[in-house]
Amino acid sequence: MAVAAAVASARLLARLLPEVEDSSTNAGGVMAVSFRRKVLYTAVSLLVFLVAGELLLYGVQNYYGGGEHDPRYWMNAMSASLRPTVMALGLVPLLYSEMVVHLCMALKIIGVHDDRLPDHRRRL
Amino acid sequence: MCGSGGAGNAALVVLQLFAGGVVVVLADLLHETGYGVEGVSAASLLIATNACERAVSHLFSPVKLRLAGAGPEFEGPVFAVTHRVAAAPPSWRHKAGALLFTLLRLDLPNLSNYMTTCVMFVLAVRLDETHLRRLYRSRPRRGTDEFVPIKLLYTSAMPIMLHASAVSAFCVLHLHSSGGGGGGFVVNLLGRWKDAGGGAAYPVGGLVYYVTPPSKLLVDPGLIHELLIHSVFVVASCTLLSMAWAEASRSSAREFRTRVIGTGYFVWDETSRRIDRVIAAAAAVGGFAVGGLAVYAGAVGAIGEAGPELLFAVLVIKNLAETFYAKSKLTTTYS
Repeated sequence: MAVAAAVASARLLARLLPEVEDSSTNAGGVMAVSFRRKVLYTAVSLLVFLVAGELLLYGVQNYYGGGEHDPRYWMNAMSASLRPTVMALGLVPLLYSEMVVHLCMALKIIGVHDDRLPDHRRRL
Repeated sequence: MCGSGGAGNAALVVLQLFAGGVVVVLADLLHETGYGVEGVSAASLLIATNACERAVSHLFSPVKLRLAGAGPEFEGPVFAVTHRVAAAPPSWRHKAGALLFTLLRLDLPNLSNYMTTCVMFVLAVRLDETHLRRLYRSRPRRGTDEFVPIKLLYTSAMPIMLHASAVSAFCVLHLHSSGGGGGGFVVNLLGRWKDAGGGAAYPVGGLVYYVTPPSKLLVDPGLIHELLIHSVFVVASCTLLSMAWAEASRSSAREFRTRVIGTGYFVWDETSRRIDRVIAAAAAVGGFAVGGLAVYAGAVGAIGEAGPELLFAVLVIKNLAETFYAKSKLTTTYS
């Protein structure tokens, strides 16, 4: 019962969040995005990341981390996190969610059905 | 860490961090579904962007600091060189002294750090251009064999990133376990810390003293034995991590054979065994080279301790440049 409620809440939250549509469905399976548009999308994504990396967190005292003598420096550099800003988590949501999904797949908790890609390009 | 706002500020902080996580996940999704530039992954691109932003902001930093015993000093080397050379007395000896001081100052980023970074850039690009001996790809028709080059830096800069992340995690755990004065005998054997203010600390003895990069090498030449121990540790761990990463990740030999050779060709067993051996050798030599380059960058002082991070950024930029060059050549051929 609690698991069903949690799954329903997760689905409701997933429906609220935006989603990126698959680019191969635009032109009947052919990769229809041109290289110049790919460069534009990549540049805009990096610009959004840089701007979010400069926004300080509201409600948090200014923690001066970073620098050469901070032991957490390499954990921050590895996960591309900028400490007192909106990007304080960095890549941690990406890496840990992928890790959890891989663990659930390995333990056969969830199953993956992905028949769009050929066998040698199956992802995740 | 939260202020005195209570539950409202805590909820706001959680919402802000959630929004940041959503931005990162959406950027990765945009890249993975085919809208991004090929050749690099979204995570590598974000890490490299963070490293480049840090390097450029350090180079052109307009912050003016007031150091003890000296006058006001710009943090960025570009403004510091301009300010000191312009403010020096108008004789060549004083201006050369001002330039030399900016080249060799120790507590702030200086120009020799950036010259070392340029040398590391050239060395990393040169290493990435090196390929091991080429292998044959057999087509069904005889006489139409092709060559499949395997890069020397097969696992890119991932071993040095894994090494730095592991060392950092070990230091953080040990710093938390030895907080508040002297701990037990084992804790003191693993290392001792000295507080540097503002949540930072640096090691002064024990195991953590040798696994962390030696700082201020120009001040104390007696630290050469520490540099040697650290170099051997970094190079050996990078080699082992590179071989393990080549086995475990998605760039393993089986994935390489499937991705490069494809499913439409017949591969002889001898070719398969040769590919496996060459990939293992490329991972080992690549890890060794990356570790040596990171030790060199850290010893000579490429922007403080950011040698591995900038090495990773250099390789990501080179992969992007390769993609751009290939696309432009393709466009020229088609048009």
